[in-house]
Amino acid sequence: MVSAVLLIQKATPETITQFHDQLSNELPTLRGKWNFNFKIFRNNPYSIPQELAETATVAPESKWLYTLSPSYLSDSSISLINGKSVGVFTNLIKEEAGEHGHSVELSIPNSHLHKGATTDLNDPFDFFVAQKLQSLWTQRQLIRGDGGRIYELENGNLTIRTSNVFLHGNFRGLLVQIEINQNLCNVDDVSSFASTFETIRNKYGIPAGDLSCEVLDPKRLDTYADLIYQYSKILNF
Amino acid sequence: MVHQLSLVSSIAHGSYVQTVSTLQAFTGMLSPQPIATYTLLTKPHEVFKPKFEPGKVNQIEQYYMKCITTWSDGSEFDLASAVIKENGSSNVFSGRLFHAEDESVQRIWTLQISDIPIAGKNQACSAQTIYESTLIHTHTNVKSEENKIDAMDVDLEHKDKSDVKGDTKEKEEDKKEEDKKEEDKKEEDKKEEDKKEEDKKEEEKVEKKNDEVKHSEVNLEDGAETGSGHKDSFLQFLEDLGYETISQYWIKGIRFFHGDIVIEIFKVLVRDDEVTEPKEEGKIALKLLDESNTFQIRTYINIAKSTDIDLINQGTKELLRLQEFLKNLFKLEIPDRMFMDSRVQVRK
Repeated sequence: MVSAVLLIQKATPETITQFHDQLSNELPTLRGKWNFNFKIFRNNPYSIPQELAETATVAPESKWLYTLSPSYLSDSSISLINGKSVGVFTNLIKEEAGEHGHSVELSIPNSHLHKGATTDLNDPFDFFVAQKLQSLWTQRQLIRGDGGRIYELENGNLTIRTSNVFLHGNFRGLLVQIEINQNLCNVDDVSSFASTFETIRNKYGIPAGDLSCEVLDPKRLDTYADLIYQYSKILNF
Repeated sequence: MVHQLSLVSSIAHGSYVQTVSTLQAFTGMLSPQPIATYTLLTKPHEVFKPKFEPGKVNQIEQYYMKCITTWSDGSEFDLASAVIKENGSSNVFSGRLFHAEDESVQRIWTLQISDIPIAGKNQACSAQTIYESTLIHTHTNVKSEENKIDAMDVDLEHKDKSDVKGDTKEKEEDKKEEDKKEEDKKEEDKKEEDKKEEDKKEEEKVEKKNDEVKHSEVNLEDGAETGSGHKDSFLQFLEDLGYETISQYWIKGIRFFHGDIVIEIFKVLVRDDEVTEPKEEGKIALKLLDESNTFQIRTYINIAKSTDIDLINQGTKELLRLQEFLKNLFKLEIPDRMFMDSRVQVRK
């Protein structure tokens, strides 16, 4: 999956309704509702690199840690640190995921539990960071996406997710997450993504806004890593 | 969040068979579950210097973190037979963890930080809160070449520190033995060398790869290339998160379940540095941390919420009942709370 994230800051109730109507005319498969939490952490300024510990009282540079927990990845979260490395965390053990009667994208292999490496009482990573890594990271912002809908088009090759974005309870725009199957675009040429997504945007009448289809590493695409990288670029209030 | 109630004990190697038989009869589990974990002990690499303001209590602490994954010795390492060094070489090996061939499967890591056990004179068992989160996939845009240098830097930095460390009385999180602290220092050195070796390997691999490209043959190393990318991405993630590795150990054992109680019997292994040439390529020689072949025993109950007083009371009672029941087999005791402290001491 190759993704792009679009934020329409000027969206109004009318334009949102109109956009949903337009999408419905394409007869998409509705994949239910979704929401997300996007947290922004900043490095704790009192954690100082060792070589500066004697001289400085605060850290010289700012670093950022983002966590994204979309509801369609149940019990999972993606985190990006300092625009460099990404980790995907989940709480679900594979055998338990089966019990819930639905397939899940992400899960912990059974042997990890059986061999004693986890207690199976995992915390979400954002909670872990907020509880135990306070000396390193402090939470700055919580951005929530509510009332999201998922549309599946072109026989499942194109997924459009829309969600209203709130920062501290204030409406900040309409977020549109577009995901296309890899065979619909040229994965070897990352610079071509922009025009590919522009075509899709025009085809489905998605209002214009800030669009990000940047990827973390152009040579090695990674669905989750690229997605959170785009979120971090777009939800940068 | 896990609230863990636990009691620990140890038995001599000779009592192993009897203990296992007894526990088999007691729990009704004829084949206990094998456990095998590999733990990287990590520490924040930055110094935390909070501003002290009068009237403001600063409760933020720095913690050591454990990164736990599974390992397979892939061999016949039998718990029931004592590990005895023959001609100075042991016969226990672990596959090289960050070795490219090992990385065809993405490694899963559980990051774990535990609080110091609850204090108090009337504790019937050790009670501590454990936070953990499991990492199933990592990715980075830092090139492996750059990354290699980074890893080395961390290593060098660490070397300077480990000297200091001997003086400053830092307490490692320690659930095993009192003598572990000494061992830890040794382990650290091992770790460093381990890393260096790995780095060397990396270099070799890169060179080899270049050769292969020249020959433009079927590129078998391709798999290894992405593999090494993965290898780097976990360490890179750890580094970006603000942690560096300081020590490592392996655990091998079995466990029984009795109601909600988990009974683990295990041995702790560390890297054996005296063995310079392992019998097999790409393997690390291991030795027992405690060469007397003693088994460690840990019995515990995990409770999902630390606020669930009813469950905690009930769990404590169950553990005490077990303690009473097994008292002739082994004596279950409360581990020393101070050795379970995972906080990084603030240097003044």
